[in-house]
Amino acid sequence: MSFGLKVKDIAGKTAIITPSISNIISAGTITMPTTLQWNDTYGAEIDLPGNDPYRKGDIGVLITVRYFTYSYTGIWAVVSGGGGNEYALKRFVYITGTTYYTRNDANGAMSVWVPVQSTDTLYNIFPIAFWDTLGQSVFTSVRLFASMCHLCYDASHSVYKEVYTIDDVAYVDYVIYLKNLQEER
Amino acid sequence: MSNYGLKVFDTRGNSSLVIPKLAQIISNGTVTMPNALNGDGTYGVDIDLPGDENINNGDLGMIVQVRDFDWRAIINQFTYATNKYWNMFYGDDNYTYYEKDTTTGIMTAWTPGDLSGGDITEWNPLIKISPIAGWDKYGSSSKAMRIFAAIHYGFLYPYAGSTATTTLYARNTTHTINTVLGYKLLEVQGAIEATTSSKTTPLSWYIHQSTTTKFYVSIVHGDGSETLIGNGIASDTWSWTIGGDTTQQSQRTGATWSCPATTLDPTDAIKLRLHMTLVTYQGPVSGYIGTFITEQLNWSKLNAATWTIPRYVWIYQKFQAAYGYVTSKCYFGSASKEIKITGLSYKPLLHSTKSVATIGSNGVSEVDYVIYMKNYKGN
Repeated sequence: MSFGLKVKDIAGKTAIITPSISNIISAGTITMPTTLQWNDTYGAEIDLPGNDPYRKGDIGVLITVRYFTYSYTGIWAVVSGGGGNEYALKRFVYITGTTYYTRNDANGAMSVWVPVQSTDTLYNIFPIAFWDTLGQSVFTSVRLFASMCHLCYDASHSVYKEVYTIDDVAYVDYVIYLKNLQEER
Repeated sequence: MSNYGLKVFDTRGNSSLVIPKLAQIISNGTVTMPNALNGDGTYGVDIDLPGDENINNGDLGMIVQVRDFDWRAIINQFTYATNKYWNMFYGDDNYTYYEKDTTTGIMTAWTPGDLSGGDITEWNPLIKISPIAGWDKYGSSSKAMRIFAAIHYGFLYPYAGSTATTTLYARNTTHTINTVLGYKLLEVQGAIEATTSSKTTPLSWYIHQSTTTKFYVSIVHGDGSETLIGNGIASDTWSWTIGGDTTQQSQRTGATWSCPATTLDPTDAIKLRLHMTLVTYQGPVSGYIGTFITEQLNWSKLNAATWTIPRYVWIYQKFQAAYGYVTSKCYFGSASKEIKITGLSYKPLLHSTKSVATIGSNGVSEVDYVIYMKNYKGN
């Protein structure tokens, strides 16, 4: 780099102060809410500095899930085996009393989805966390989304889908950084 | 937005401001995860922070990403038809999985079931698997940050619950369970009466002496096969001889049976067959008059216990030499006329989720990480 401010200490050691390409403007651990937002979207809101909006391309977000829980049960099948009966699961089933949501990728809106216990099949669960842009292109805040994602088959509509439980991820670690933080607007 | 700093221009006139850092990367790189727990039973790699003083956790942050991992499970293949197979993953008892105390971080070894035939508690199906990595944070400040990384598993964990006691009531409607059609045998009492089929003597057999009712108890398995555990049990004999046409009916109570301890599979059901022997002065007639069956119980065991099985017996005698006869049947379905099993003791089959992890070469062996600090004062 050919520009910057050179700073010397009394021993003659030098360092060059240069403009930052990106700045971390918010970071830490945050508790995830257990209910939807007023507009049926979900997540924790982190304000960006200033009052003017930032372009999507100038924002970067890293999120990792720190702590999560989940539960499920199954319907057993008993199969005769050489050493006695063996046990498989016909299918994993949903937990009564748990609210499952589908998510509209276009705007982040969450809708309650009620599984049909006898036909809808669950086949994987994992934590997921990401910056939910809510379909926007400029931002004055960043929405952090984190939940347990359940991959399943919706038999009544013959589709494979992702559904979410919103009170299973308790904490996330995150970093938000901005490029062109100092851009004149 | 920051409105202070040193403005730096390039030759085209674009400008940037030099501003104080809000956060600064103080450590980053790739770390090899250990194959064993730490001495205190926790797990992970500590990254020293600068200086000798504790730093508030609120000023610290860490992002960890899994680079290299392996996973441990075992597959069991079921054959359900010729050349047709059904595969399912289970915990592998050749490897050590760890349960993590989320409060202390201490890891406790857990060995999954060994897939022993006939014992469902030895079968732990796998539902989820995923790499996890992050800052293992305890307390409010740190001199070092702990990187935790592992492969996380969710296994279904079946186990026998505590002993429970219940009553099963014969109900007025039927269902087919494990290929067996029978009147329902449920834990909730009904209010609508029904009757079994009847036993009737040939004409001219018209002088009643006794009516004996007893039960045959079977475990009906998921494939329809049966195991008889009670052979002609809880027998009750009602003896009377009365001249003339007469109807006699009685709620017979007090007949008991010592049910033996019996291991159950989750798809098993209990079947009762009611047998009647009607004895007249001219001879006996006998046979089964009713079948009752539970739903699939999802129980792990019938405990040894004394069952009491009341039944309501109805008898009609047509007292006439040439055309006389005796016929008998049982009523059930309501509180006033009932067939039921009381004193039934069992252990339910319960399930929980076993959340465990494998570590090091059996889990996550390498991670990339970044540690950043706010309010970094430097040296």
